[in-house]
Amino acid sequence: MTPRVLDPGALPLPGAAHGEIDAAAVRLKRRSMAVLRRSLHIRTVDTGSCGACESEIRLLSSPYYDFHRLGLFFTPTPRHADCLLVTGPGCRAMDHALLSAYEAMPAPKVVVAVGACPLGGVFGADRYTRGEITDVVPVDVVVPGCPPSPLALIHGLLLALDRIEERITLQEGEQ
Amino acid sequence: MALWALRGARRGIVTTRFPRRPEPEAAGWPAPPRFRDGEIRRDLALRMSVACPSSALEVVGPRLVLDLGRCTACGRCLELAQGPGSSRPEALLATRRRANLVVSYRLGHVK
Repeated sequence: MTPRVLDPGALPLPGAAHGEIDAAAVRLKRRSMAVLRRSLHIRTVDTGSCGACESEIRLLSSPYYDFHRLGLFFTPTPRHADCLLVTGPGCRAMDHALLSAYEAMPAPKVVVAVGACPLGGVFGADRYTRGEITDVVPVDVVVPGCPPSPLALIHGLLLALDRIEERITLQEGEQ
Repeated sequence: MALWALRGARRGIVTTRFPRRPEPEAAGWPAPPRFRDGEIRRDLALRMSVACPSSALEVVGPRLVLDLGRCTACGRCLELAQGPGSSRPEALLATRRRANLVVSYRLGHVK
């Protein structure tokens, strides 16, 4: 992996968080309407997480972020999901469940790795965990942090929508 | 029934902004580190890479490589490098390319 200097376009969290979140939320809603022409449905898969990432993901539906107003919904079945949020270090016992959920999703689909665990932090690759989940499913968007803030999750969903648009373009090109 | 609920029902407001002000405690939350380029000595960099529990810090040749994707913001490296290191003031956001989360710093010489 080639070391790079971090893109300085990161948003400040303290102080200006409220306005930045609102701006990101409006952008997300516009992207969702433009790309999907319907709501974005999200399925989460926990591959051995401590629960901190799930706590932050759950905050997306709290009154502060309220992502239902943006047309985003959690779905209990991957058959209805457009986006797969994966947390945890990729326990090898969850390989089958994760791959089954990914294969059950209709195309176009996008995978978002949430937190430091699926990016190789916290746990390395050993006989129990994968370390990075890229060995099991292809990852389109990564959301760093331990746990990542809901602002970063909203940004990740925004990137995921862009990714879905790319996939749609590719599919149309193949046809 | 609370007064705000009655007032909201009369005005037809079903939702409102919450909270009204930014969260001040967010400034004190743990954040990944950042270092001043060229001010980390090699021995300090090696000690930080050993202290990092998530293998986010690594000394590669003349540079200290920080993988922000692996960092858990535990602060152990900042305890060792209190001068040239500090908490990152901005929040980490998502990215499509994993390589965007890898930052490298030039190591300084031992005086």
